[in-house]
Amino acid sequence: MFAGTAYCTALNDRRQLEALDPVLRQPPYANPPQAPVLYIKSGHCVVASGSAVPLADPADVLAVGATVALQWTANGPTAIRLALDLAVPHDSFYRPAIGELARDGLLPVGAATRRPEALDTLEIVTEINGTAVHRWNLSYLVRGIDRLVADVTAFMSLLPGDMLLVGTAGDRPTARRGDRVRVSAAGLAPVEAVISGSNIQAGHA
Amino acid sequence: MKHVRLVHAGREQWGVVADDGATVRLASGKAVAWDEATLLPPVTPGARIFALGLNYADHSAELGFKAPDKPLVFLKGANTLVAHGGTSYRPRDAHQMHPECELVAIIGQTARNVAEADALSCVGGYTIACDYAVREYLENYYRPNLRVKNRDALTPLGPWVVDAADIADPQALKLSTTINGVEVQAGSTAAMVFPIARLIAYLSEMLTLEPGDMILTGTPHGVAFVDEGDEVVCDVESIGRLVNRVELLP
Repeated sequence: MFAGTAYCTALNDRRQLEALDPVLRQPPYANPPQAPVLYIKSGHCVVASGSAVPLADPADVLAVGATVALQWTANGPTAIRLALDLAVPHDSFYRPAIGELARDGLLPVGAATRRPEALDTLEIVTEINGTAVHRWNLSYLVRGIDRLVADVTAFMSLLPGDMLLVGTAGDRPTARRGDRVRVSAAGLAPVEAVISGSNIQAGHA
Repeated sequence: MKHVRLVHAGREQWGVVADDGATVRLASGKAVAWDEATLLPPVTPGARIFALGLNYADHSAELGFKAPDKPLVFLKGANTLVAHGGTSYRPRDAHQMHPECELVAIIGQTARNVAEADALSCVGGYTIACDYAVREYLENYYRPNLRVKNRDALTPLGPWVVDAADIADPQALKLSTTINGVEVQAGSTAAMVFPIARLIAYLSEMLTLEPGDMILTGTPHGVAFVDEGDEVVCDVESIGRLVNRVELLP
Protein backbone atom coordinates (compact mmCIF):
# COMPACT_ATOMS: atom_id res chain seq x y z
CA MET A 1 0.00 0.00 0.00
CA PHE A 2 1.08 3.54 -0.80
CA ALA A 3 0.75 5.43 2.47
CA GLY A 4 0.16 8.92 1.09
CA THR A 5 -2.81 10.63 -0.49
CA ALA A 6 -3.06 11.42 -4.19
CA TYR A 7 -4.70 14.77 -4.92
CA CYS A 8 -5.94 14.87 -8.51
CA THR A 9 -6.79 18.02 -10.44
CA ALA A 10 -9.90 18.19 -12.65
CA LEU A 11 -10.92 20.83 -15.19
CA ASN A 12 -7.34 22.03 -15.66
CA ASP A 13 -7.34 21.51 -19.44
CA ARG A 14 -7.84 24.92 -21.08
CA ARG A 15 -9.76 23.57 -24.09
CA GLN A 16 -12.03 21.43 -21.89
CA LEU A 17 -12.77 24.34 -19.57
CA GLU A 18 -13.57 26.65 -22.52
CA ALA A 19 -15.88 24.06 -24.08
CA LEU A 20 -17.70 23.48 -20.79
CA ASP A 21 -17.98 27.16 -19.88
CA PRO A 22 -21.71 27.55 -20.79
CA VAL A 23 -22.53 24.41 -18.76
CA LEU A 24 -20.50 25.56 -15.77
CA ARG A 25 -22.53 28.80 -15.60
CA GLN A 26 -25.75 26.80 -15.13
CA PRO A 27 -27.03 24.85 -12.12
CA PRO A 28 -25.81 22.94 -10.26
CA TYR A 29 -22.48 24.72 -10.76
CA ALA A 30 -23.68 28.35 -11.06
CA ASN A 31 -20.13 29.64 -11.66
CA PRO A 32 -16.95 28.36 -13.28
CA PRO A 33 -14.51 27.07 -10.64
CA GLN A 34 -12.42 29.61 -8.75
CA ALA A 35 -10.10 27.41 -6.66
CA PRO A 36 -8.40 24.37 -8.24
CA VAL A 37 -10.92 21.52 -8.62
CA LEU A 38 -9.49 18.56 -6.76
CA TYR A 39 -10.52 15.01 -5.97
CA ILE A 40 -8.77 12.47 -3.79
CA LYS A 41 -7.49 9.03 -4.62
CA SER A 42 -6.35 7.30 -1.45
CA GLY A 43 -3.19 5.21 -1.22
CA HIS A 44 -5.27 2.11 -1.93
CA CYS A 45 -5.85 3.35 -5.48
CA VAL A 46 -2.12 3.46 -6.18
CA VAL A 47 -0.54 0.44 -7.88
CA ALA A 48 2.84 -0.10 -9.50
CA SER A 49 3.36 0.18 -13.23
CA GLY A 50 2.52 -3.11 -14.91
CA SER A 51 -0.36 -3.98 -12.59
CA ALA A 52 -3.64 -5.45 -13.73
CA VAL A 53 -6.44 -2.98 -13.02
CA PRO A 54 -9.71 -4.70 -12.13
CA LEU A 55 -13.04 -3.68 -13.60
CA ALA A 56 -16.10 -3.69 -11.37
CA ASP A 57 -18.11 -4.94 -14.35
CA PRO A 58 -16.35 -6.68 -17.27
CA ALA A 59 -18.34 -4.51 -19.68
CA ASP A 60 -17.09 -1.25 -18.16
CA VAL A 61 -14.74 1.11 -19.91
CA LEU A 62 -12.25 3.32 -18.11
CA ALA A 63 -11.24 6.86 -19.02
CA VAL A 64 -7.46 6.93 -19.34
CA GLY A 65 -6.11 10.15 -17.84
CA ALA A 66 -2.40 10.36 -18.54
CA THR A 67 -0.66 13.00 -16.49
CA VAL A 68 2.27 13.76 -14.26
CA ALA A 69 2.21 13.49 -10.48
CA LEU A 70 4.39 15.72 -8.37
CA GLN A 71 5.67 13.64 -5.49
CA TRP A 72 6.24 15.35 -2.15
CA THR A 73 9.33 14.46 -0.14
CA ALA A 74 10.73 16.05 3.01
CA ASN A 75 12.11 18.71 0.65
CA GLY A 76 8.78 19.52 -0.97
CA PRO A 77 7.56 18.59 -4.47
CA THR A 78 10.98 17.54 -5.67
CA ALA A 79 10.11 14.28 -7.44
CA ILE A 80 7.83 13.47 -10.33
CA ARG A 81 6.27 10.43 -11.93
CA LEU A 82 3.96 9.60 -14.76
CA ALA A 83 0.52 8.59 -13.56
CA LEU A 84 -2.43 6.85 -15.13
CA ASP A 85 -5.47 8.46 -13.55
CA LEU A 86 -8.18 5.93 -14.43
CA ALA A 87 -11.86 6.65 -13.90
CA VAL A 88 -15.26 5.28 -14.67
CA PRO A 89 -16.49 7.95 -17.10
CA HIS A 90 -18.99 10.36 -15.55
CA ASP A 91 -20.36 13.71 -16.73
CA SER A 92 -21.12 15.42 -13.44
CA PHE A 93 -18.54 17.26 -11.38
CA TYR A 94 -21.08 18.27 -8.73
CA ARG A 95 -20.71 15.66 -6.01
CA PRO A 96 -17.74 13.57 -4.86
CA ALA A 97 -17.55 10.47 -7.07
CA ILE A 98 -15.82 7.81 -4.99
CA GLY A 99 -17.29 4.95 -7.00
CA GLU A 100 -16.08 6.42 -10.28
CA LEU A 101 -12.71 7.76 -9.16
CA ALA A 102 -11.45 6.06 -6.02
CA ARG A 103 -11.88 2.33 -6.47
CA ASP A 104 -8.93 0.12 -5.62
CA GLY A 105 -6.24 0.07 -8.30
CA LEU A 106 -7.35 3.11 -10.33
CA LEU A 107 -4.00 4.90 -10.10
CA PRO A 108 -1.05 3.05 -11.65
CA VAL A 109 2.13 5.11 -11.33
CA GLY A 110 5.61 4.93 -12.83
CA ALA A 111 8.87 5.19 -10.93
CA ALA A 112 9.62 8.57 -9.36
CA THR A 113 12.51 10.60 -10.68
CA ARG A 114 13.88 13.97 -9.72
CA ARG A 115 11.74 16.78 -11.04
CA PRO A 116 13.30 18.35 -14.13
CA GLU A 117 13.73 22.12 -14.37
CA ALA A 118 11.34 22.63 -17.28
CA LEU A 119 8.06 20.78 -17.61
CA ASP A 120 5.91 23.46 -19.18
CA THR A 121 5.86 21.92 -22.65
CA LEU A 122 6.17 18.24 -21.76
CA GLU A 123 4.30 16.00 -24.22
CA ILE A 124 2.59 12.94 -22.74
CA VAL A 125 1.79 10.08 -25.13
CA THR A 126 -0.82 7.40 -24.43
CA GLU A 127 -0.62 4.10 -26.29
CA ILE A 128 -3.30 1.43 -26.19
CA ASN A 129 -2.24 -2.00 -27.41
CA GLY A 130 0.89 -0.52 -28.97
CA THR A 131 -0.79 2.29 -30.94
CA ALA A 132 -0.39 5.92 -29.94
CA VAL A 133 -3.99 7.10 -29.50
CA HIS A 134 -3.57 10.37 -27.60
CA ARG A 135 -1.00 13.11 -27.21
CA TRP A 136 -1.28 15.85 -24.63
CA ASN A 137 0.96 18.69 -23.63
CA LEU A 138 1.35 20.38 -20.26
CA SER A 139 1.23 23.72 -22.08
CA TYR A 140 -2.55 23.11 -22.28
CA LEU A 141 -2.96 23.42 -18.50
CA VAL A 142 -5.10 26.29 -17.18
CA ARG A 143 -2.93 26.42 -14.10
CA GLY A 144 0.64 25.47 -14.91
CA ILE A 145 2.57 23.43 -12.40
CA ASP A 146 4.03 26.25 -10.32
CA ARG A 147 0.74 28.13 -10.10
CA LEU A 148 -1.19 24.96 -9.30
CA VAL A 149 1.18 24.12 -6.45
CA ALA A 150 0.89 27.67 -5.12
CA ASP A 151 -2.91 27.74 -5.35
CA VAL A 152 -3.36 24.31 -3.72
CA THR A 153 -0.85 24.81 -0.93
CA ALA A 154 -2.48 28.17 -0.17
CA PHE A 155 -5.25 26.22 1.58
CA MET A 156 -3.78 22.80 2.46
CA SER A 157 -0.44 21.11 2.98
CA LEU A 158 0.81 18.14 1.06
CA LEU A 159 2.86 15.84 3.26
CA PRO A 160 5.91 13.77 2.30
CA GLY A 161 4.47 10.77 0.46
CA ASP A 162 1.55 12.72 -0.99
CA MET A 163 1.16 13.35 -4.71
CA LEU A 164 -0.46 16.10 -6.74
CA LEU A 165 -1.64 15.09 -10.21
CA VAL A 166 -1.66 18.19 -12.36
CA GLY A 167 -4.65 17.40 -14.57
CA THR A 168 -5.81 15.24 -17.45
CA ALA A 169 -7.05 16.00 -20.98
CA GLY A 170 -10.75 16.61 -21.50
CA ASP A 171 -10.62 14.39 -24.59
CA ARG A 172 -8.79 11.52 -22.90
CA PRO A 173 -9.31 8.10 -24.49
CA THR A 174 -11.02 5.08 -22.98
CA ALA A 175 -9.81 1.53 -22.52
CA ARG A 176 -11.71 -1.71 -22.10
CA ARG A 177 -11.18 -5.23 -20.86
CA GLY A 178 -7.94 -6.74 -22.06
CA ASP A 179 -6.40 -3.45 -23.23
CA ARG A 180 -2.76 -2.77 -22.49
CA VAL A 181 -2.16 0.91 -21.76
CA ARG A 182 1.21 2.63 -21.80
CA VAL A 183 2.00 6.27 -21.04
CA SER A 184 5.35 7.84 -21.79
CA ALA A 185 7.04 11.23 -21.83
CA ALA A 186 10.61 12.28 -22.53
CA GLY A 187 12.86 11.90 -19.50
CA LEU A 188 10.30 10.14 -17.28
CA ALA A 189 9.80 6.46 -16.49
CA PRO A 190 6.79 5.08 -18.42
CA VAL A 191 3.73 3.68 -16.69
CA GLU A 192 1.83 0.67 -17.97
CA ALA A 193 -1.32 -1.18 -16.94
CA VAL A 194 -3.51 -3.97 -18.20
CA ILE A 195 -7.26 -3.52 -17.87
CA SER A 196 -8.46 -6.77 -16.36
CA GLY A 197 -11.92 -8.24 -16.67
CA SER A 198 -11.73 -9.89 -13.30
CA ASN A 199 -12.48 -8.30 -9.99
CA ILE A 200 -9.24 -9.57 -8.49
CA GLN A 201 -7.59 -7.13 -6.15
CA ALA A 202 -4.75 -5.35 -7.89
CA GLY A 203 -1.30 -5.61 -6.35
CA HIS A 204 -0.54 -2.56 -4.29
CA ALA A 205 2.56 -0.49 -4.93
CA MET B 1 -10.64 -0.30 26.53
CA LYS B 2 -9.50 3.11 25.31
CA HIS B 3 -6.50 3.16 23.00
CA VAL B 4 -4.45 6.31 22.55
CA ARG B 5 -1.68 7.23 20.14
CA LEU B 6 0.97 9.47 21.58
CA VAL B 7 4.56 10.60 21.55
CA HIS B 8 6.57 9.69 24.65
CA ALA B 9 10.34 9.71 25.05
CA GLY B 10 10.86 10.69 21.45
CA ARG B 11 8.81 7.93 19.89
CA GLU B 12 5.32 7.46 18.53
CA GLN B 13 3.55 4.78 20.56
CA TRP B 14 0.11 3.41 21.31
CA GLY B 15 -1.13 2.89 24.85
CA VAL B 16 -4.19 1.92 26.85
CA VAL B 17 -5.85 4.31 29.27
CA ALA B 18 -5.76 2.95 32.85
CA ASP B 19 -9.07 2.20 34.56
CA ASP B 20 -8.75 5.26 36.79
CA GLY B 21 -8.06 7.44 33.73
CA ALA B 22 -4.94 8.95 35.33
CA THR B 23 -2.25 7.22 33.28
CA VAL B 24 -1.62 5.47 30.00
CA ARG B 25 -0.02 2.02 29.93
CA LEU B 26 2.43 1.62 27.05
CA ALA B 27 3.30 -1.64 25.27
CA SER B 28 6.43 -1.88 27.45
CA GLY B 29 4.23 -1.94 30.57
CA LYS B 30 5.36 1.51 31.61
CA ALA B 31 2.62 3.80 32.92
CA VAL B 32 2.93 7.42 31.86
CA ALA B 33 0.99 10.41 33.13
CA TRP B 34 -0.89 12.57 30.62
CA ASP B 35 1.61 15.41 31.02
CA GLU B 36 4.46 13.09 30.05
CA ALA B 37 2.90 12.40 26.67
CA THR B 38 1.80 14.37 23.63
CA LEU B 39 -1.41 12.99 22.17
CA LEU B 40 -1.69 12.29 18.45
CA PRO B 41 -4.86 11.63 16.45
CA PRO B 42 -5.59 7.91 16.98
CA VAL B 43 -5.22 6.97 13.33
CA THR B 44 -3.52 4.02 11.68
CA PRO B 45 -0.86 5.39 9.30
CA GLY B 46 -2.03 5.12 5.69
CA ALA B 47 -5.65 4.49 6.65
CA ARG B 48 -8.30 6.04 4.46
CA ILE B 49 -10.52 8.75 5.88
CA PHE B 50 -14.06 8.59 4.49
CA ALA B 51 -16.53 11.26 5.49
CA LEU B 52 -20.26 11.62 5.01
CA GLY B 53 -22.16 14.67 3.88
CA LEU B 54 -25.83 15.17 4.71
CA ASN B 55 -26.18 11.96 6.72
CA TYR B 56 -28.64 13.42 9.24
CA ALA B 57 -31.97 14.51 7.77
CA ASP B 58 -32.26 17.48 10.15
CA HIS B 59 -28.86 18.82 9.04
CA SER B 60 -29.77 18.39 5.35
CA ALA B 61 -32.98 20.35 5.87
CA GLU B 62 -31.10 23.10 7.71
CA LEU B 63 -28.76 23.50 4.71
CA GLY B 64 -31.65 23.48 2.23
CA PHE B 65 -31.07 20.00 0.81
CA LYS B 66 -33.28 16.97 0.86
CA ALA B 67 -31.59 13.88 2.26
CA PRO B 68 -29.60 12.10 -0.47
CA ASP B 69 -30.83 8.81 -1.97
CA LYS B 70 -27.40 7.26 -1.63
CA PRO B 71 -24.55 8.03 0.78
CA LEU B 72 -22.65 11.22 -0.08
CA VAL B 73 -19.11 10.04 0.66
CA PHE B 74 -15.92 12.02 0.28
CA LEU B 75 -12.29 11.36 1.17
CA LYS B 76 -9.93 13.38 3.34
CA GLY B 77 -6.16 13.58 3.68
CA ALA B 78 -4.11 13.05 6.84
CA ASN B 79 -3.14 16.74 6.84
CA THR B 80 -6.63 17.49 8.18
CA LEU B 81 -6.19 15.65 11.47
CA VAL B 82 -5.25 17.16 14.81
CA ALA B 83 -5.26 15.54 18.24
CA HIS B 84 -7.50 16.10 21.27
CA GLY B 85 -6.37 19.30 22.96
CA GLY B 86 -5.01 20.67 19.70
CA THR B 87 -5.64 23.87 17.80
CA SER B 88 -7.63 24.49 14.63
CA TYR B 89 -7.06 27.65 12.64
CA ARG B 90 -9.74 29.90 11.20
CA PRO B 91 -8.68 31.73 8.04
CA ARG B 92 -8.73 35.50 8.57
CA ASP B 93 -11.04 36.11 5.61
CA ALA B 94 -13.57 33.46 6.65
CA HIS B 95 -16.13 33.95 9.39
CA GLN B 96 -18.42 31.00 8.64
CA MET B 97 -16.37 28.16 10.11
CA HIS B 98 -18.46 25.70 12.09
CA PRO B 99 -17.78 22.47 14.01
CA GLU B 100 -19.47 19.20 13.08
CA CYS B 101 -19.51 16.52 15.79
CA GLU B 102 -19.31 13.04 14.28
CA LEU B 103 -19.12 9.45 15.44
CA VAL B 104 -16.20 7.73 13.70
CA ALA B 105 -16.32 4.01 12.94
CA ILE B 106 -12.89 2.39 12.53
CA ILE B 107 -12.68 -0.77 10.46
CA GLY B 108 -11.23 -3.81 12.25
CA GLN B 109 -11.12 -6.43 9.51
CA THR B 110 -10.98 -6.55 5.72
CA ALA B 111 -14.43 -5.90 4.28
CA ARG B 112 -15.34 -6.56 0.65
CA ASN B 113 -18.92 -6.99 -0.58
CA VAL B 114 -20.21 -7.25 2.97
CA ALA B 115 -23.95 -7.61 3.57
CA GLU B 116 -25.48 -4.89 5.71
CA ALA B 117 -26.59 -7.54 8.23
CA ASP B 118 -22.95 -8.57 8.80
CA ALA B 119 -21.30 -5.18 8.44
CA LEU B 120 -21.13 -4.02 12.06
CA SER B 121 -18.93 -7.02 12.85
CA CYS B 122 -16.28 -5.36 10.63
CA VAL B 123 -15.98 -2.39 13.00
CA GLY B 124 -13.04 -2.58 15.41
CA GLY B 125 -13.58 0.62 17.34
CA TYR B 126 -15.04 4.08 17.55
CA THR B 127 -13.74 7.58 18.10
CA ILE B 128 -14.95 11.17 17.68
CA ALA B 129 -14.27 13.77 15.01
CA CYS B 130 -14.99 17.48 14.95
CA ASP B 131 -15.04 17.98 11.20
CA TYR B 132 -14.97 21.74 10.65
CA ALA B 133 -16.31 23.28 7.46
CA VAL B 134 -15.58 26.78 6.15
CA ARG B 135 -18.70 27.80 4.28
CA GLU B 136 -17.29 30.84 2.46
CA TYR B 137 -15.16 28.52 0.36
CA LEU B 138 -17.96 26.29 -0.90
CA GLU B 139 -17.98 25.74 -4.66
CA ASN B 140 -20.20 23.34 -6.57
CA TYR B 141 -17.38 21.09 -7.76
CA TYR B 142 -17.07 17.74 -6.02
CA ARG B 143 -18.87 19.54 -3.22
CA PRO B 144 -17.94 19.68 -0.37
CA ASN B 145 -14.76 20.79 -2.11
CA LEU B 146 -11.31 20.41 -0.60
CA ARG B 147 -10.88 24.10 0.21
CA VAL B 148 -13.84 23.63 2.60
CA LYS B 149 -13.14 20.16 3.96
CA ASN B 150 -9.47 19.33 3.52
CA ARG B 151 -7.70 22.15 5.31
CA ASP B 152 -4.83 21.47 7.69
CA ALA B 153 -5.86 20.67 11.29
CA LEU B 154 -9.56 21.29 10.76
CA THR B 155 -10.49 17.72 11.71
CA PRO B 156 -9.78 17.17 15.42
CA LEU B 157 -9.91 13.42 16.09
CA GLY B 158 -9.88 11.46 19.35
CA PRO B 159 -9.15 11.48 22.21
CA TRP B 160 -8.96 7.68 21.86
CA VAL B 161 -10.35 4.61 20.14
CA VAL B 162 -12.94 2.70 22.17
CA ASP B 163 -13.23 -1.02 21.39
CA ALA B 164 -16.34 -1.82 19.38
CA ALA B 165 -17.13 -4.55 21.91
CA ASP B 166 -17.59 -1.84 24.55
CA ILE B 167 -20.35 -0.07 22.57
CA ALA B 168 -23.63 -1.96 22.81
CA ASP B 169 -25.46 -0.02 20.08
CA PRO B 170 -23.58 2.58 18.00
CA GLN B 171 -26.91 3.76 16.55
CA ALA B 172 -28.22 4.90 19.93
CA LEU B 173 -25.56 7.36 21.11
CA LYS B 174 -26.23 10.97 22.04
CA LEU B 175 -23.83 13.45 20.49
CA SER B 176 -23.39 17.16 21.10
CA THR B 177 -21.12 20.13 20.53
CA THR B 178 -20.51 23.07 22.79
CA ILE B 179 -18.68 26.32 22.06
CA ASN B 180 -17.39 27.89 25.29
CA GLY B 181 -19.88 25.72 27.18
CA VAL B 182 -22.90 26.73 25.10
CA GLU B 183 -24.59 23.83 23.33
CA VAL B 184 -24.77 24.36 19.55
CA GLN B 185 -25.39 20.81 18.32
CA ALA B 186 -27.36 17.99 19.91
CA GLY B 187 -28.61 14.79 18.37
CA SER B 188 -28.52 11.04 18.35
CA THR B 189 -26.79 8.58 16.05
CA ALA B 190 -30.24 6.98 15.78
CA ALA B 191 -31.07 9.77 13.29
CA MET B 192 -28.47 8.84 10.66
CA VAL B 193 -29.98 8.58 7.17
CA PHE B 194 -27.61 5.72 6.37
CA PRO B 195 -26.54 3.81 9.51
CA ILE B 196 -22.98 2.56 9.93
CA ALA B 197 -23.78 -0.96 8.70
CA ARG B 198 -25.28 0.44 5.52
CA LEU B 199 -22.27 2.71 4.94
CA ILE B 200 -19.85 -0.20 5.29
CA ALA B 201 -21.93 -2.36 2.93
CA TYR B 202 -22.10 0.50 0.41
CA LEU B 203 -18.38 1.24 0.46
CA SER B 204 -17.41 -2.43 0.40
CA GLU B 205 -19.29 -2.86 -2.89
CA MET B 206 -16.86 -0.53 -4.62
CA LEU B 207 -13.61 -0.99 -2.71
CA THR B 208 -11.90 -3.10 -0.10
CA LEU B 209 -12.07 -1.64 3.40
CA GLU B 210 -8.99 -2.44 5.46
CA PRO B 211 -8.28 -2.33 9.21
CA GLY B 212 -7.72 1.24 10.32
CA ASP B 213 -9.89 2.83 7.63
CA MET B 214 -12.18 5.40 9.23
CA ILE B 215 -15.71 6.47 8.41
CA LEU B 216 -16.78 9.88 9.73
CA THR B 217 -20.49 9.24 9.81
CA GLY B 218 -21.91 12.75 9.46
CA THR B 219 -23.29 15.38 11.77
CA PRO B 220 -26.70 16.42 13.13
CA HIS B 221 -28.20 19.90 12.79
CA GLY B 222 -26.75 22.99 14.40
CA VAL B 223 -24.54 25.40 12.45
CA ALA B 224 -22.73 27.82 14.77
CA PHE B 225 -19.65 29.76 13.77
CA VAL B 226 -16.45 29.79 15.81
CA ASP B 227 -14.08 32.62 16.56
CA GLU B 228 -10.58 33.16 17.87
CA GLY B 229 -10.12 31.80 21.38
CA ASP B 230 -13.18 29.55 21.38
CA GLU B 231 -13.08 26.19 23.12
CA VAL B 232 -15.06 23.58 21.21
CA VAL B 233 -16.07 20.28 22.80
CA CYS B 234 -17.60 17.39 20.86
CA ASP B 235 -19.15 14.77 23.12
CA VAL B 236 -20.33 11.34 22.03
CA GLU B 237 -22.01 9.19 24.63
CA SER B 238 -19.89 6.20 25.78
CA ILE B 239 -16.92 7.40 23.67
CA GLY B 240 -15.70 10.58 25.32
CA ARG B 241 -15.13 14.32 24.95
CA LEU B 242 -12.98 15.75 22.18
CA VAL B 243 -11.65 19.21 23.07
CA ASN B 244 -10.23 21.70 20.60
CA ARG B 245 -9.33 25.37 20.50
CA VAL B 246 -9.71 27.85 17.69
CA GLU B 247 -7.08 30.42 16.75
CA LEU B 248 -6.72 32.72 13.77
CA LEU B 249 -4.52 31.48 10.97
CA PRO B 250 -1.22 33.40 11.24
